[in-house]
Amino acid sequence: MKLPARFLPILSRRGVLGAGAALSLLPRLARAQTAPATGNGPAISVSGAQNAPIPLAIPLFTDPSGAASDIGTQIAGVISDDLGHSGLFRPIDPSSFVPNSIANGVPVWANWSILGAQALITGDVADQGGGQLRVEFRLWSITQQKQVQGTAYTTTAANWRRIAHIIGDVVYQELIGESGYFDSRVAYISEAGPVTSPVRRLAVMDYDGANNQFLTDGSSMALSPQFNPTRQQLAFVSFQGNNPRVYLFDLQSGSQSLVGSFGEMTIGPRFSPDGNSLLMSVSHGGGAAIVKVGASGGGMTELTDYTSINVTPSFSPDGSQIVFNSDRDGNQQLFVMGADGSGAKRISFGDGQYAEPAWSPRGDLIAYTRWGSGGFSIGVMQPDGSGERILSQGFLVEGATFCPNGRVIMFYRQTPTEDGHDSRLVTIGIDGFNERLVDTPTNASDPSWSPLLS
Amino acid sequence: MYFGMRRSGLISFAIHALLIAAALIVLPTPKIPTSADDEVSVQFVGPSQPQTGEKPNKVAAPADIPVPHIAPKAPTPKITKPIVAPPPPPPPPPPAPKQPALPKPPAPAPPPPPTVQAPSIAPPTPPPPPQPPQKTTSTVVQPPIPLPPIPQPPAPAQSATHQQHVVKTPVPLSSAVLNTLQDLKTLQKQDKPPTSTYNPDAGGAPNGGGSPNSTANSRLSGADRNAIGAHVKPCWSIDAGAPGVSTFSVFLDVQTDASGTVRNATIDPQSQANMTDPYYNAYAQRAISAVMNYQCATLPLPPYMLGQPQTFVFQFSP
Repeated sequence: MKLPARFLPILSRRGVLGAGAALSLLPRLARAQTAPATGNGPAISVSGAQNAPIPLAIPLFTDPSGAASDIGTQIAGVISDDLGHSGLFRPIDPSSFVPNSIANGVPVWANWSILGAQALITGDVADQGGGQLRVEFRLWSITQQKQVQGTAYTTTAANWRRIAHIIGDVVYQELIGESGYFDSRVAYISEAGPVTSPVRRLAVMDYDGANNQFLTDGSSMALSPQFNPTRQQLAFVSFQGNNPRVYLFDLQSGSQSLVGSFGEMTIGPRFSPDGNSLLMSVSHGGGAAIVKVGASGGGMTELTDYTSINVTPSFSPDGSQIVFNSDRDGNQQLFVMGADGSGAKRISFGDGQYAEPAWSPRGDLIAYTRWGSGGFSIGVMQPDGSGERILSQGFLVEGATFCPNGRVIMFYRQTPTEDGHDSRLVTIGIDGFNERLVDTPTNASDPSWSPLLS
Repeated sequence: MYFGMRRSGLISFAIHALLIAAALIVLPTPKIPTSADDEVSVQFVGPSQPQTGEKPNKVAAPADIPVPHIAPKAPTPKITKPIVAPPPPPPPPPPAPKQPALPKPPAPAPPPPPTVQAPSIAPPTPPPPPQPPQKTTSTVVQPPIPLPPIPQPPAPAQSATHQQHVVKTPVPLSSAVLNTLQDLKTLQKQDKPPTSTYNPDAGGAPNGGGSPNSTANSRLSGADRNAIGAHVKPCWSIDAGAPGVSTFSVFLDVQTDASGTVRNATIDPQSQANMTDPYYNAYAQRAISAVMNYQCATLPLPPYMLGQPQTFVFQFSP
């Protein structure tokens, strides 16, 4: 009996060995394709997750009797805006809610689960007299049919927005696993008036643009505000006497003070993580050095020399490193050095030039401005310079600042118009999605995000 | 012809020998079960225990709130007084699960003790000069959370082999009831196998009678597992921005009712050690939400697994 010729390769010595080897791999391949054994058979594997926001329902807050409440409606709206604008949550359209889906203070689970809601936020607002409000909220897990959080707050009626932001942060913390950023503020430079002689004032507002306040009167130009991470204090550059110097603004008293007289001018202030010292650039003889001074202005230490222009320093969250911008290699690039000024190392190597680095509060990213033939862009990279990603581009985009948990970046986008330019504050997720404008009463630039207020 | 058959026989013998040798060499070795001693026992304080009040809460914990600073020019100083949130009216008992075989809960469990928290709220700053948000304190009571009634454990059934005490020295022809029953019992023919179980105190082998924690995974084929995983996948979402999420993997113990619908899901012990990581915790909670989502909770179980509750182990990976 002679085998067909097509079988001969298999039955050859090499073919038999090859077939045996292939057969020997089959069990291993089978194991690799199944989930790890659990001792009672392989687990049921679920993978390929979507990066999707959490659907949640936020009915209007009522008064304790269940009747409609104007302020309750507003609170629910701010909570919905906070969570929805974060990109991590998807508030469900209230018009789809089933009526009477809260019975005796407890959700009718089926009425919410049918909407696809995974979480539910309920609450009521009670007027306690004397201008006091009591806001009670509960966070429910619809899928697990239980209450996750229940808290009541008492405050003045004028403070209702802050209550809403705090509730949003609690929900964020419970469902995402990290602190939120809604109960925070942003300092920025307001620009108004004619293009030839604009009035630039220091301003502060809630992170979402509400409660805007101007801190200076515009008699002298203000630039580059920076929040102290531990105190109610801002550092900023003021051109009082046409001499740019770094000043401190006390948010409690409204007073401002000069940090100190160093060199020809001082610019680009950044606080240390503990808020006790300040980095800034001091110009002298055509160069600029990065110096470290006490927050009260004493004890200046030069961290770089004046042979090149070294500006816009930013501490790492642990205070051990500083990223800054220098033209020591011929054009502006980003460098990282130790907190004592040692071991400076260039980290930016892309096309164009880099400036205005900001270290994320999480420590994992550095945001920057980059410009070149393609225009301006806002990007992030890891502290070693790897993983560079461009998040947004435009005619002029600058001044990146991180939100308190490092998930969102705010910067300003300037676009030319017929009578000058339009400058707006913009937020964007560090993944490059969810870009949103922040309402400001005037043109705005140089944002600085505060830490969480509570 | 003979040589041809002999050659074929030798080739056949060689192939079979190689296959047997390959199978012996590469047979999958059984996985060493994870010892309970390797796991770090961590108390999970999170959404599964929301009423305990032990979870640090930045808003609710008074110690975390900085002392408010009142601006000197504040027009109306914000003052709050402690308040106590009254408990909500008692909720109606939740609908009973669709498990006729399960015992009816006799009475609802008492509500957990309220947790008192004192959050601080700061009012907005008035117009310039700017004022820091004024923080006020309030007392907050965690409202009692409606808990499903806890079923009472059934009364322990008396063992069929239990023997009553008998009179040790009965008088002849005693009419004592126990002695009479004993006499009748000895006259009965044993027609049932013994139903006694091992006695650990007496040195019985605890692992000699099967696995008390067995799951139904072993009764599922690979195709069944794939079908169930594919069914749950549309409900499975993650927060891709969470640090380390690409390395996360959580095991869940998922219980289904007789219809194959998920009724409960808990973190498997082998994943409990990671629950102290808040990002992992949130990841695991989203896995629970996925498998309990009404759109995915009715699992496509094979027919022979329906009709009684089952427990499965799921693994959720990004």
